[in-house]
Amino acid sequence: MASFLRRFKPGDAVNRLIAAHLAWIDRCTRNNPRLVLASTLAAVLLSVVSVVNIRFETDIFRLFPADRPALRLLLDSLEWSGGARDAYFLLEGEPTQLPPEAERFAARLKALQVEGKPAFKRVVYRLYDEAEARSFLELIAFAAAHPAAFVPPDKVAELAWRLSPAALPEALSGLTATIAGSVGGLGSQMAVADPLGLKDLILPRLKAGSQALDLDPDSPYLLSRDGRVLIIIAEPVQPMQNMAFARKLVAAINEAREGSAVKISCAGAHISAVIDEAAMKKNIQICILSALVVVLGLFYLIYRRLLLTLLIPVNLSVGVLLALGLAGLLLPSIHIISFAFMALIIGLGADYSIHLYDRYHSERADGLDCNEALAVIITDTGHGLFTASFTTALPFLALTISDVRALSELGLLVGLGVISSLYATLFFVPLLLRLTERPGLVYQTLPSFGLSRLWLFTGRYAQRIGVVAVLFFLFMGAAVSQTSFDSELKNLQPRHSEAFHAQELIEAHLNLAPRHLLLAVDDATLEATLARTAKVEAFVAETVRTSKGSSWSALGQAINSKEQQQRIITSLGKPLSSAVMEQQLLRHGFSLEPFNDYLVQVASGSLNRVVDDKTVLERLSASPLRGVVERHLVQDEAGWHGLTYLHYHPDRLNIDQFSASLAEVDPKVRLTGMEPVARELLEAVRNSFAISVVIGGALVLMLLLLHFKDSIGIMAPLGPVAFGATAMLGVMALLGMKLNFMNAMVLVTIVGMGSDYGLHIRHRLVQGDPAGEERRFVQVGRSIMMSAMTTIAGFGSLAFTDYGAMASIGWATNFGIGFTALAALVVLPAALRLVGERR
Amino acid sequence: MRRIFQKVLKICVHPLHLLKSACYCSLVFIMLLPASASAAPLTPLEGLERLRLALQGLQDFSAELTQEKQVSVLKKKLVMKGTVRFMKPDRFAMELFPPYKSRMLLKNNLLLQRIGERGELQKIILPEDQGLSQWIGKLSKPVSSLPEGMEIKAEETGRVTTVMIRPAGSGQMKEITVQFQDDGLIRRLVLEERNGDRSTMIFGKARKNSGLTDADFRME
Repeated sequence: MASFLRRFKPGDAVNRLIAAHLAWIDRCTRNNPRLVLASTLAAVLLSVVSVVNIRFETDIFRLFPADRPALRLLLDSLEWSGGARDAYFLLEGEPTQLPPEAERFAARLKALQVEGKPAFKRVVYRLYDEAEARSFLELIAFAAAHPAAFVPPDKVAELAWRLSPAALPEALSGLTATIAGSVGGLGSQMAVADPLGLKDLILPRLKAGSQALDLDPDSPYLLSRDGRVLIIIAEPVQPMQNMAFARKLVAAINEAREGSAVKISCAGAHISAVIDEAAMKKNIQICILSALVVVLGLFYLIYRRLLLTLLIPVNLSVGVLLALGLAGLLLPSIHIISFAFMALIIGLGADYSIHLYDRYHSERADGLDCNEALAVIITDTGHGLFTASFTTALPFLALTISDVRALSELGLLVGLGVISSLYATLFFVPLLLRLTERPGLVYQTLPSFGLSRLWLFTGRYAQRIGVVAVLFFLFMGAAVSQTSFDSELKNLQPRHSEAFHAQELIEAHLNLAPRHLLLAVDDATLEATLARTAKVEAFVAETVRTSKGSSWSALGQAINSKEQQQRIITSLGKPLSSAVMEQQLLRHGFSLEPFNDYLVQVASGSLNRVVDDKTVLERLSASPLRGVVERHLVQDEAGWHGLTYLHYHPDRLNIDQFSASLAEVDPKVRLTGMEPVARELLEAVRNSFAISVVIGGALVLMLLLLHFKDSIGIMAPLGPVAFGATAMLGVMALLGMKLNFMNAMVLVTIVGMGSDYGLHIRHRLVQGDPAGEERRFVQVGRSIMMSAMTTIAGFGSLAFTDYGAMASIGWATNFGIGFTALAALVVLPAALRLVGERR
Repeated sequence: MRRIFQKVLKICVHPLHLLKSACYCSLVFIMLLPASASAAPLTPLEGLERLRLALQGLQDFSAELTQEKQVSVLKKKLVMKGTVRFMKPDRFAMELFPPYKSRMLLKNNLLLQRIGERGELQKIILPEDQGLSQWIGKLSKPVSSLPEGMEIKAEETGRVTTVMIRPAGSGQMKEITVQFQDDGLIRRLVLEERNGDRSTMIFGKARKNSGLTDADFRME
């Protein structure tokens, strides 16, 4: 390939083109500074217009590819359950404090108004609503008349006894005692609804089936078993995606929870994003600001040019604005997390300014005048920057084809940001330098920061450095094998955010098991859905029976299918007759008239009748125990969805085996859970990463070939990158840091940015006479050192943010850039000596 | 006071289940504890205020209970005997003797009940605002107005004061009547529902401030 390129000299042509382009920039800044300024101003204004119209999103779910099956089902289930739209309030405190505080807070939520209208459609904080007593009695009456549909199959013997004539006297005596011990009419009403006392067999099952959380069965509140956490669920009147409404609602909620004696956290798929929005923005702003301060501080410390230092933020702002403005034209909205990557642009933009200025200062100190020095930095250093910026931008731009929005947005923003920063620097820095030039201004030789000695050291001990580097590389390579991947999405969230805290609370106090899987059967008709769901349920029940799962929940656990009803009826044998019942009721002093409905049903054979699914579901849906249905069966525009939950411990269940076996039961059943979702995301990230590496790497290789036209020219930039990336992964593994969906992308950053270091060193070293190598190395080495420091300050400062995703990126960048710079400044000069490279 | 009565009546009208009803019974009972008597017909406000004042000097109360219950589902009238106990701020217990044996204990908002000799102990935690201490706390405030829509009559016959309360609306509870003596001890409580069900509770051998302790409110 290299010989081919040499023979046909496309590199020369491209390099000539780049040189001509850079010379044009030099002419523009020299001859038409006002035109450059006016054009920049116009571009900035257009960018501002574009930026103002950008819609910044906070919905975390929009960052992920919704076409993946597990993720799709997760999003569907959030819609079905209300998890996406509802607000969840978690009250934590002493068990004695929670109920009264819940009463007070629920009252405040009910009274809460946004724009003069109630903020919530419903506020649920108790298991029972007294207003539903009537519908509850109606359900009991129906279930008591049709026990085969509701009594658990393992209680058939108990049911058979209660339906036997011999058990009637005991049941009716108990009924009399219940009426005697009750006050008001409920004892009588319950007696009429359920004269045989079958509710004891029916209710525990229905109650368990309606609960998605591990709640205290004795409490009237949605209270954890340990009494430490109480949940209130509220459904906002408008969707939380309506950001104007959501922000006002959150402000009202914050006001409502002021002065509470217990801690109240608010969570919900969308509301969490709004609540955390301000904190996230503040976090990112602090990060960007601190990066800017550190970058400028370093710049001033080394070059001592105050005006230039103060004007660099203008240059950086132009780069950022142009990037955002362009992104705004290409994207309908930008996620707030993607916006955080603008910190990287600040670091990179500062790098370019440093390279240009350092070279300018050095050339001026060597005796060139302003115009000559500017021509050199634009056409020569600028050439290096041009190639370097495109080797950085292209791997990122390659990410834009990723189906993971988080990555495609990141790729586009950073890619555009790098290129816009380059042009902002190439156009703006010469103008600034001319502006700050004064007659008689003396350019002192810049400090070498020990780089001169380092150059001599790497030449003298080239071989030893090479050996140590190889050993270190191998050691780190071995450590890389210990790298693990953290697929827990929760850990990417801000550690002190309410969403994070709420999830921790739920996991600690309310989860039924450490993990759960949701299995969905989708079909056009209710009958088909239930029939297929029953098979899935049987499979899941078997999984639990063999101890691979800890528990499960499905419609079939709360009510019986028609087949089960038939089996129960067969086991019951001869039905209890209404005549016997009438006789016993009279004997125990009861009037027959109030029991007429029940007796008529018994006479018609209801105790031994199979009830169709639709009727049972309608009865349940109309009762306070409608949660049984809502949790396990959904009807939407797409049809019916039967849902089965499997609670499991991650150590006991092999998801792959389970999925494979499940596919044999029903190949169309969908499955989701944190593990499948994490796997899909991992796969998507891995694919995106591979695409980026392949496409971006090929483009980088081509650029390097065009720039250097030889294999050493390719190895010089990529060698430090390989070293830096390996060392980064090795150190992370040794320190117990895990790769995750976000910091994995730092590898792309290292490839793009890290390759600049070796490129600049090689670019400068091959120029001029061998005697000037040390001077050139010192100059470019200083730039690289500064670049690495500003990048670490800019991007690495994310390490100290509260945002888990950003912090992991920050640490990875610190390690990656640090080791890549080290390799470029120490190992590369030694290696170049070893291969005997000069010009 | 108005809110208290509204609440009591609302509860009586919309009870969710048996056990909760038992709790409400205790609330009504407590409201109707010792009161003083006068020699003339009372205004509704006076009647209610007298109930509240009577409660102020009470620390505990115990009595034997005879209850007659006429319910629509039973042809015959149920007659049962038992005991009731109350201790401030949040204890109430009722025990019915065989043949309708049942025991009920209310510890603020924790309700325990066992029907029959071998019946399963049922435990229910009532919502906080329905806890006994909440009601006792509310009853400490003077009655300044009558509950809206509620019909109240109060009269005095000799040493006995009778207060009849008829709630507004079409709830299940039609009328509550209480009689108490001028020595502050309750004699009779009548609960009448719209469906014709009627319970009459007669209290005998009543004692107040006899030094009841937590040991008297146990449910094994």
